[in-house]
Amino acid sequence: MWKYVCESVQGSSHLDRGQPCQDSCAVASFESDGDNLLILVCSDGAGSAAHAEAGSKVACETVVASITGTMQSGRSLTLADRAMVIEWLMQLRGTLSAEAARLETDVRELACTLLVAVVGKSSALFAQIGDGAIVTSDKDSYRPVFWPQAGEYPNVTNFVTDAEFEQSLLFQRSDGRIEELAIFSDGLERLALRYVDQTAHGPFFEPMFRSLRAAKNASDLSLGLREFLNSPRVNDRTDDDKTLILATRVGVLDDSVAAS
Amino acid sequence: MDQIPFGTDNFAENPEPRVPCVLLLDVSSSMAGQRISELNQGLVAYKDETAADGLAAKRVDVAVVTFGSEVKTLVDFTTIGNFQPPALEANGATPMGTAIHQAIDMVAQRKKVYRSNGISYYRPWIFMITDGGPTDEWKAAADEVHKGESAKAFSFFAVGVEGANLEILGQIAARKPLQLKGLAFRDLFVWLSRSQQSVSRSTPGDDVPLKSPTAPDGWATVG
Repeated sequence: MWKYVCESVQGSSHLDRGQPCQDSCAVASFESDGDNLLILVCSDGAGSAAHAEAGSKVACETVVASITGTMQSGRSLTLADRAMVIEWLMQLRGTLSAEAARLETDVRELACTLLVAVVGKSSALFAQIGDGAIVTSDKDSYRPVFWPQAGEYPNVTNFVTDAEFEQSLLFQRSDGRIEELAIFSDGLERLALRYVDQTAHGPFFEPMFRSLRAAKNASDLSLGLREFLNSPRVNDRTDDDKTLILATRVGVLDDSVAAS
Repeated sequence: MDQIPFGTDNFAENPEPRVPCVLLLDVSSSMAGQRISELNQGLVAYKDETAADGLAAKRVDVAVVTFGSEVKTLVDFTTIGNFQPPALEANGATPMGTAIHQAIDMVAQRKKVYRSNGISYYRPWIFMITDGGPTDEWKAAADEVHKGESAKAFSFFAVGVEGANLEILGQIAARKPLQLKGLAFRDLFVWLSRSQQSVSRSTPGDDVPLKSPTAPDGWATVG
């Protein structure tokens, strides 16, 4: 069983420019192989793309559907490989092309990044094209699975719509039980990651995971998460759209049990 | 339902990504008088406008190289908040070729400094303002500009004040040179500041200036 919160909030520069929030996120969780499988997806539309918000929304919906289809058809997460992810990406690119045609535009105008985590009872799969990061916890430390992709300049990254998407794809499958993880888009990178040594900043995550573990219903935290993402202390540090997904396995010791 | 407060007050401390900019300024004798005076006021406006923007204040790194009786790095790269606009004086010829080489080298050196300190940086600006034409060898400099632009190593902009040799500027710069309207230096520097403020925003893709300088109420006409 998993508890999770997942919110995307418009950045202040997007508000100023009259640009909608171009981030999207989605979470799905269902029974598979005797355990609750968790799927987390985040996508950030390219700022220069005319239909960026449509791109990221389609990306989240399509990828969740693809992964759900694969897992429910009996394929095992323990045997997941890069080729499986490429299949999902091909389906996504096809859907984005169709949507571009419907909008009478080029698929370039739906360019977006993609961050994916699929977590099972004793294995997990991670995939990423672009910036932002997936962070997993390991006992008492947090670690980014991949470092955000960037070219020489920070405002240039890779997108699922690129011709070279297969080369850009970062993929990892791991054995071992993940208890907690987070995904965020590039708007929160400089708040949650330490650039000097390419690590995750633990104190950013700890208080929020504590709250999530203690909450009776994770949905009670949605409003609080949105308010946090919109808060002055966050907006002082970033003017980009912000997405944060936090997930914790129910049954992880919370502080009150650990202290007794 | 009571709202549950949620969040954190503890954020990673990272160095800000930088927007490096070299102002490459003609201080030859023809710039004397009202021209250099308006240019000086433009520099003050640039500092004030940029330092007033929260993010840009932390991100824009500016250097000033002048060319007149000599080529001089008057101000080495400094964060805009610490930038003291110099009071320029006009004197001498126009060694533009040498000045361009110097600006390009400074940008390359600055990138090395950033990289060795784990600091990200946006595509650097070299912004040249002149009211004449080069009095020294300039073709090699023009090559360097074109190479740098193709490699996206920097963005080079040339602005001609009345009397400038726009034909040669057109050969030096990969981007079409602009002609300043009269002595609208203040407008030019406010535009530059706003463009850099928008560069320091997180928009993926190539930098796009905020507003075309050649719009009817802009500070330039196409040369």
